[in-house]
Amino acid sequence: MADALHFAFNPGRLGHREGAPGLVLQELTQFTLASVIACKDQAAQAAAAAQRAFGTSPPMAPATAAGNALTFIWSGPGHWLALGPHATGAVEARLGTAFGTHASVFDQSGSRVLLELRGPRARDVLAKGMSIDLHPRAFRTGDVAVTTASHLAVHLWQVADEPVYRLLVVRTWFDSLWRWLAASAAEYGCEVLAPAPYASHTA
Amino acid sequence: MSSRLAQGGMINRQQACRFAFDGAEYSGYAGDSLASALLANDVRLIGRSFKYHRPRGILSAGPEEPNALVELRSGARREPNTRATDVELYDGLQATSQNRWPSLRFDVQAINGLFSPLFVAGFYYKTFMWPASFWEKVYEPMIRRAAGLGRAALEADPDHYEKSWAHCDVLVIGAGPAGLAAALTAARTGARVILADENFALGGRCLAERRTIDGQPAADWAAQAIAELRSLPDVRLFPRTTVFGVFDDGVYGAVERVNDHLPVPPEFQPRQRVWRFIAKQTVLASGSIERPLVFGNNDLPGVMLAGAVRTYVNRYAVLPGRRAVIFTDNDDGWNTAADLVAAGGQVAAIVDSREPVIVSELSRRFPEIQAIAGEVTGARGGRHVESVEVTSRSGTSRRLDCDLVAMSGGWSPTLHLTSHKGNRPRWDEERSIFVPDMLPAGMRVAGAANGDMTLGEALVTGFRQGLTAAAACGFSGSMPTLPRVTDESTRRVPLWRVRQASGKCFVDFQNDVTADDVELTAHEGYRSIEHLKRYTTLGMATDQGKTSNVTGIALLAQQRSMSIAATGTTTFRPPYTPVAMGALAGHHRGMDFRPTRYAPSHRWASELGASFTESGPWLRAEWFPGPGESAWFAPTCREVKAVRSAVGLCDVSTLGKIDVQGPDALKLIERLYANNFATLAVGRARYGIMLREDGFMFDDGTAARLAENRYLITTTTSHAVQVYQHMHLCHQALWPELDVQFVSVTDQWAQFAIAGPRSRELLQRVLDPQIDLSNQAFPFMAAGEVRLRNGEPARLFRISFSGELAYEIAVPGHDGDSLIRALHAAGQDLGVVPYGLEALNVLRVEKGHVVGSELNGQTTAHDLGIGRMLSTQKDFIGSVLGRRANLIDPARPRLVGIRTVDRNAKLAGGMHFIPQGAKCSIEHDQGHVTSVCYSPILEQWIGLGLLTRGPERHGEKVMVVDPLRGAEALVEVCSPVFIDPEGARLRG
Amino acid sequence: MRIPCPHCGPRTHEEFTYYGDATVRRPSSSSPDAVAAFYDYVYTRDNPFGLHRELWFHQGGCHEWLVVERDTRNHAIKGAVPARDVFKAGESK
Repeated sequence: MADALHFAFNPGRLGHREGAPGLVLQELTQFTLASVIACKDQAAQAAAAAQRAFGTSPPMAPATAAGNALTFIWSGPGHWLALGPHATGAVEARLGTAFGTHASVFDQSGSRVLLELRGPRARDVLAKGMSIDLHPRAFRTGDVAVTTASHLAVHLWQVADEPVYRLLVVRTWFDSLWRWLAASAAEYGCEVLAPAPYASHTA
Repeated sequence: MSSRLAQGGMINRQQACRFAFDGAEYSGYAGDSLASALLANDVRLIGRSFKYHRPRGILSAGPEEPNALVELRSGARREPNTRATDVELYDGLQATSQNRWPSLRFDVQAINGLFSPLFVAGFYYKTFMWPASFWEKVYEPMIRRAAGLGRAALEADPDHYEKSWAHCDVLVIGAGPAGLAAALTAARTGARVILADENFALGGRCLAERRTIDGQPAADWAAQAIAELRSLPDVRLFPRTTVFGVFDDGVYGAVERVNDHLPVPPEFQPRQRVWRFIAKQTVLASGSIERPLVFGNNDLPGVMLAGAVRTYVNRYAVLPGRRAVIFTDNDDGWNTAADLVAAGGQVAAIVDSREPVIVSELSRRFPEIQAIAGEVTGARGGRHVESVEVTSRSGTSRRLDCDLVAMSGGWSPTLHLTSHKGNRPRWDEERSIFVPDMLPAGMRVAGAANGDMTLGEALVTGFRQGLTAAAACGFSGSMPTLPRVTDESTRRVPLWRVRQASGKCFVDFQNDVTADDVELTAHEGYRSIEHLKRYTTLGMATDQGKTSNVTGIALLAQQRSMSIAATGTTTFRPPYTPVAMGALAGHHRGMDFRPTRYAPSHRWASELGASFTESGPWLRAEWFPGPGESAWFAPTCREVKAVRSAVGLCDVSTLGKIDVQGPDALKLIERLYANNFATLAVGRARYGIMLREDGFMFDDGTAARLAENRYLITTTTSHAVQVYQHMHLCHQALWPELDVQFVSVTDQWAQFAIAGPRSRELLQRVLDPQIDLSNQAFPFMAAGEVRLRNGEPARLFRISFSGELAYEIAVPGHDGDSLIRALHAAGQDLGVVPYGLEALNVLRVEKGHVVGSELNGQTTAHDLGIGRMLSTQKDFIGSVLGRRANLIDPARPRLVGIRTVDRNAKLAGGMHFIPQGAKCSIEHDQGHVTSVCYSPILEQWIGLGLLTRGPERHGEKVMVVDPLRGAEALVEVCSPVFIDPEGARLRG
Repeated sequence: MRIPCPHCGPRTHEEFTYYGDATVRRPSSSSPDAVAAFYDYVYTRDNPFGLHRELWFHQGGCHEWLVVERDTRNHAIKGAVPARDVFKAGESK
């Protein structure tokens, strides 16, 4: 166990200690998350239903769409993750009502860890385990990649040009992801902030 | 005495670097290579050769070096076979010569040279053949000690390595004149450019030649080009980075030596980093490698490549010898003579093997140099060249004293990367070089790598290829004004070997392969270049024949009277130069070799001192040692007894969970599972089996109907990913017409088994008191949503793996830790015990449940005694082939239970069934034991096995035998269900 | 090798799981020669020297099955389309 938590995920500075940290990392907690999968040939109707209920249309390509209370993160054709602040009441019931017979809804609120990454070397750190092109010409604010980081399945999206990224990883893989992130960020210095309740990004 | 020139070179004379070679202390400068620093200190003898242990020095000034291989650093950081010519000098560098004993100057195995007839081509196959028994005990250890290169470190490497990806429009490989030109024109269009060079200084031959570009030194032009590139935001420069491999679709492998130029990497920094460059277009500007000439004793220290001599003189300000003889078959060799003279060296003569008319013409251009039209037939000297024998075309011989021989057999394009994808280069008869032919998609070649050998050609082709590469990515620009350079001539008349040579004439220095070896190979009938390589080892080992391949091919062609074009080359494969395994592994070593998955109860379990084991990617608790318990046995027995008598807790979150919704959910479930689900009511769960399409067992688990059109199915831990993929394949490719949606919720739900006669009691304490858990309200195989005492939602399943009254409760993943703690705390007075994988295994063996050992890919439902579950009323995966007669043959090995006749006897998994009295042989083999355990309830060893006609043989006694470990036992065949066969407990 | 996922864009092959031949179609289980037809479907495979259509699963991405056209001689990939589209059309049945 001591080994398993070699890089304990606690607030504080890791790796290179001088100057501003190359990567700033914060876990965001208290969110609701659901998989929304359009029924057969119902993607357009599902999008329209979301527009009515949440004021935004879930994207049909790898991107995010922020509505009131919820952000839709593209996850596959006709498949989105709906992310929002923790709310009382079952997420499946709330979303299920909105989508009706156009989509199936699956609560995933407990399945993932959500991180926010920023800092001047954030791109360089992510490039050590992600094969996608994160250059601003190729990946912009609002873009989503469903891909792997250090062999682990993740959703990554950019929320600001700075850049600021958000990353969802499966909860039981989080320790392995963190070990890779910590090792990869060490040469630039990594600041872990205390966890904060989820809020949609505001620049 | 020092060979350092008083001025010049690209070294920093303000920054001295102390270093040690074989324990002796020396000093060089920042900007030196280890080779240049050794030469500056007059160290000429660097190593001993592979077979004959001949003294060897420095042949080249680059990555082609076959001789000057050293061990760098010491202890855990010792790195063998590093090329002194590539190693960047740093303060505190320690290097050691290799392949010598007891010392470099006196090597007892130099005597091998006297027995050299034993070591001819194919000596492995000829000399050490008889007697066969000698191979392992005598010959191989002897060869291994005598031959071979450096020693790997025996301790774990303390440094960190990593991998990274980088994308670009245009990748330029090589930062010599052609590469810099290509990078400039590509970058000026706005394209994203990566420029990589293996050397620590960018500039390539601009740094090594006394040439001018637009009237200024070539090195200054290079510095300006680099400065411009650095100023552009989308250009990334990678010095110390070798692009070692070309892979599919524009993926290039490269290794960056981030901190090899320091004794120890700075804290938190990697030593090396492997890059995967993903490039839309590539310009290969990797330059060329000079060929040695083949004459007697051409391997003596002091015999060097002519271009390397220029590198040492011009770039490193080192005079590698005071009195030189130049031996060349081409015009370029004359430049070396001129540079040596310009640096204050003495040139005894230039020996040019070509027609006297050519030699006379060149003599008029280089009047200060004595020229001889003829050949160097042999070099002489002990550990260093002292003189050469020269025979002129007129037939007169003479001896010339010298301490340096600079030889040039012309330059070969460094085209390795053009052929990593399987393309072969083309022989250009006119220029006597192999040139790139078919190229990997997106690759262009510029400069010497393409056979365009002059500086002027390098710049022109570089500019042009950089521009066209950028254009292919959608960026436009224009050709710059071409800089002025002086003319060069590169005429050559190939001299593949000197015929009247005295002494061994080496072709491949690293493998001690001589021209005679190559010719002997041809005489023995080999004509394929691939056979030449294997038979003589020419072109093998760390340098992969960079200086020897072309000459070897030419000599073989001559002997076989074939053209060089028809002889062809061997296949170039990645890596171009050796890459450390540590760099290829990167972060993924030790604990991080592969990702580890931690169950939701991991922290709680580790606080209880659980022992963990790997189960696929998961780390799972195997047992929870109590006070005074150490090994697995005591805690496992205690945990099993607790489950059978009170209540136990076990994390079963690792099972795959897939939530299936939609109007056609049942249709999909029915086609996935072999048994019937149409009759499953809402609020109920059922055991299900999945087959593969070939009719064998694939996986098993439960499916619970949560609502009219909603099912939650579970898979085994080990097949979770495969089942999920399989479901998608079935949905997307086989039955896309189904309106069904599903997703993995394995991580959404932390799930715990609560098993044992007091499980209901315990569960009641954490659930909303309103919930009725009675048999009537929540019977065996019930499933539904419940609420915890704190109001949080949970899912409850009354399923049992242990055979006891048992439940599985699931809560959202982030609540798993608090629930397991709450359950553990709430059940103290009930005797609650956490149990691990070992107890889980004992419980299921006692109950006859199958797991991976039985679901081994070779068993059918019929074999496992569940054949009657297969529906005959529906189409499902495996329904057709599963009915094949061979798959339901009663003579197949089928599931049984076994118990030892002697209650003290032990069993082991993998034992084979042999009839009593029969010999233990394959003919009598009747199957094997799949699972065993000590049952603390039955107080003896029991097991499950696959026994021929097993179900017909209950009560029979057979032997189980483990011939490998010499164990055997007599067992009685019985039902696989040892405990509570009626199932009264789990329904209780 | 990089596979152009029609949903996610070009991705390195490490994100994908190979399955096999995309040209075979599951026979009807109710036909009289079902066993022979299934035997062919499960076991008999062409091994083309050249272009081949294969099923790949984008495990590290969108979780969609793709039909990838790949040249077995040199790994050159001509294209990738969603398996749903190919199989829904019922082509080459």
